Amino acid sequence: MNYEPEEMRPGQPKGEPDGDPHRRTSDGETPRSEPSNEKPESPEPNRTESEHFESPSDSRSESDESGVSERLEAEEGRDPDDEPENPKSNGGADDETKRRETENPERKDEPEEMKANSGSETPGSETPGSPGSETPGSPGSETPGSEVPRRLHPTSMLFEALKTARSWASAAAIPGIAALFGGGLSVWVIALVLIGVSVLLVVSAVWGFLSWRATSYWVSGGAFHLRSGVLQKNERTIPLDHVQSVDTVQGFIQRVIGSVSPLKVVEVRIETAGGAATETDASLSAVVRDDAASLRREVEGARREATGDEEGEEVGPTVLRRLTRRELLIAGATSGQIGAAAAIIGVGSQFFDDFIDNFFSRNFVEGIFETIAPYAFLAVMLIVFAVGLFAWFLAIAGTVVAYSGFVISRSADGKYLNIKRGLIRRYEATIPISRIQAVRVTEGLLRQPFGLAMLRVESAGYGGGTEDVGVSTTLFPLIPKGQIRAFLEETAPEFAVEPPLTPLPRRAARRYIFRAAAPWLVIFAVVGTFFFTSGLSAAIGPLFIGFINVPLPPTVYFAVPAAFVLLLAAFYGWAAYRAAGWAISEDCFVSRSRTLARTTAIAPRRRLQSRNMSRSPLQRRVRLATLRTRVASGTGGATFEVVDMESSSAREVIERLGPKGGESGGRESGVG
Amino acid sequence: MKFEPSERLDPKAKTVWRISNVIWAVPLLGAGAFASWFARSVVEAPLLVWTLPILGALFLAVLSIFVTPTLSWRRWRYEIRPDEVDLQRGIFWITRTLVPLARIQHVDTQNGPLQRRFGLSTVVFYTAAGANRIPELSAPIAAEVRDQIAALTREQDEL
Repeated sequence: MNYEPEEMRPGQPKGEPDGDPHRRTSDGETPRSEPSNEKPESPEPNRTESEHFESPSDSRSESDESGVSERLEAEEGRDPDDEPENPKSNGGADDETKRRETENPERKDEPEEMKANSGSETPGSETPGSPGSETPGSPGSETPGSEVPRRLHPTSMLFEALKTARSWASAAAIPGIAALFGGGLSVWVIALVLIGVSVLLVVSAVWGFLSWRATSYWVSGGAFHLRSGVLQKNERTIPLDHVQSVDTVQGFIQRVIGSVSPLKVVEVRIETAGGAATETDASLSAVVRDDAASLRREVEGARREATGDEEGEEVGPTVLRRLTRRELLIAGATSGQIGAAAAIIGVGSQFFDDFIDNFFSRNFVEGIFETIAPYAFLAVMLIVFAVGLFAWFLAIAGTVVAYSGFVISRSADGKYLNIKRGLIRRYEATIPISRIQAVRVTEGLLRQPFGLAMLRVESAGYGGGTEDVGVSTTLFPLIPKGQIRAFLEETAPEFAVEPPLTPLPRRAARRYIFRAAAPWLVIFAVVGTFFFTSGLSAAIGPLFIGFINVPLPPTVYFAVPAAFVLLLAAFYGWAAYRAAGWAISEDCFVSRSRTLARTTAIAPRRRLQSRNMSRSPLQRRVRLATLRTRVASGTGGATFEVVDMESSSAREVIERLGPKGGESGGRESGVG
Repeated sequence: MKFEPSERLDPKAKTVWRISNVIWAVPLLGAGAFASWFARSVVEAPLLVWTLPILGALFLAVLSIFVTPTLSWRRWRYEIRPDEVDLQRGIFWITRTLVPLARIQHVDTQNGPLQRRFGLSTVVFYTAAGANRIPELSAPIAAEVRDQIAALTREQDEL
């Protein structure tokens, strides 16, 4: 399930199960070989186990129903004695577990109740005791300090189980579907699928339970400790002064749980700033909200005492702007991602082809084709239109999923911007304002006529660390042009400039138009040769019957589209010329260009990593030059360029953007 | 902006580039010859067509061995100013690049086997947005330039 934020990388050594079938057997052996690990009271890890785990690499969204059923199974698996030795016992108590889940948010009592309710159990050597997160067991033998290990909330089993089920299911999905289509449905296939599904559910439930029982965390000795892993025990220690933030994330399931019961469970993510590759973040999949708050206080309190650190986490963040539902839909409708959506449809149509092949007789399909053939052109137009419409809806849906609930806020100390977005999976990004290198205002083709734009930022990392790479991310998905300056004033005041741009000299227009049209001239030369030398020119006429009823010379079929495309290209070149411009204002270099969307880049002088100007022989003849500036972005850089500006202005701009161009040069740029 | 940066690369750069282009020309000519052979004996293309690849390769090889090293060397200039590194290069497309010293994170000198044979070295300096290089300086000068950039960078740091 997608409650993990996007930036969580696979490969975290959390002892999560993977899709390997061998796991199942080792799973069953665990309790026998390491009985001490099953006691919640003694989280003494057995480090002799040497199996290696990888977290599930795949994160696919899944339906609500499967979530519910797997949740039930996870509940079942909670009983410690219901080990894989007799997995069939999981069939029984579904209704009870469901009732319990919804009506009983009380954490402490659950294990006992579970025991009472669970269908068939071999009496174990001990009861799970009280592993609720508030009642810790006695500290492990090697745990110094006053702090005692705490358990995750038992719903964590559900998350672990879902994770397992998901990785298995996604591994099996494609071959499974292929088998279904290929072999057709027989009783045996259905039975096999059902058996597979139930085995999967049981195994994930058991695994969820085991990994919940193996996981504990505590704060002691100036460090946060996380112990986890079912087979391979894993203890992670994060010094508190390396902790950058303690974030709570409410994923989809956590929100569902919160909405059907008074139980407020969150995922807690502890992020480090060090950037050392060996030091990964810690993630606690289910913690009661109050506990999360106290853990956060504990970690941050201790850290401040220890280091006198000034960087406080958002105590009271100010919400700067929210994306309304109406804006969200407009953003989707104008996103211009129809191309991407069309590609998805293209892939999808492959499956559609297979589907048709399997379910309709060949004669039927051929009959349809023969009926359509005389109207091929019309039919193609219709299909293109339909696909376009579908792609458009897909683009809207994509935008809604990605940007739903977009909120940007500023931390209380004013140093960080925090962005939250996403419908199914809540994505969260924290950007240090001092690390923003440039802002891009993108006016998409469909947005520019309505005066709308999207804002992006380029930000830089400290360099070196895997965790702390900079990002190029959306600052706000849809904003009226008139409000951009005020919005930037609040978010990143350094970039809040809106100077009138200097247009390019008129003699640049010819170059822009030629550059846009030249590739098409070449293409049409090649295509034209092919068109007239092969038999295609003779064959093309009949295709248009039903659309054009007058016979036309074949040249028309080539010349008309070619002229149309060339005109379009020339117009595009003209539009790119019109859009291009530059300005220097308040120590910021502003440049604008157009690919399809018109993009304005704003980069302060002190953020520029280099400037360069380049002139081709033809440019030299008409005294034009291409100016490029580079800023740091992510792990590399981003380039902003003005093509064909006045050569003398380019020289002057380069000079003015240099270290001597203003009084405030220096190293404070933050990219060191 | 000054008309041109003041310093030139070491004159031996031309020789080094020539030799390395000779080395590159071998596979290029090989590919051209193969394409021509293929066009002639397998596709049986007319003379005008099958000679094209090998002639093209030959042209490029001659150009890159006898012409471009000199032109490139003539254009290449650099200057380490108190606050910036100023570079100029390019044969047809003349590119002028300025990198503020305050943005430079670290500096390297590198030399390959061929460069070592001629006592040359390349200075590479890195910013957060990528690397820039001054190629083919004589080794002592390269070391000097490297130290100069490093010292100036440090100075800026202390501001």
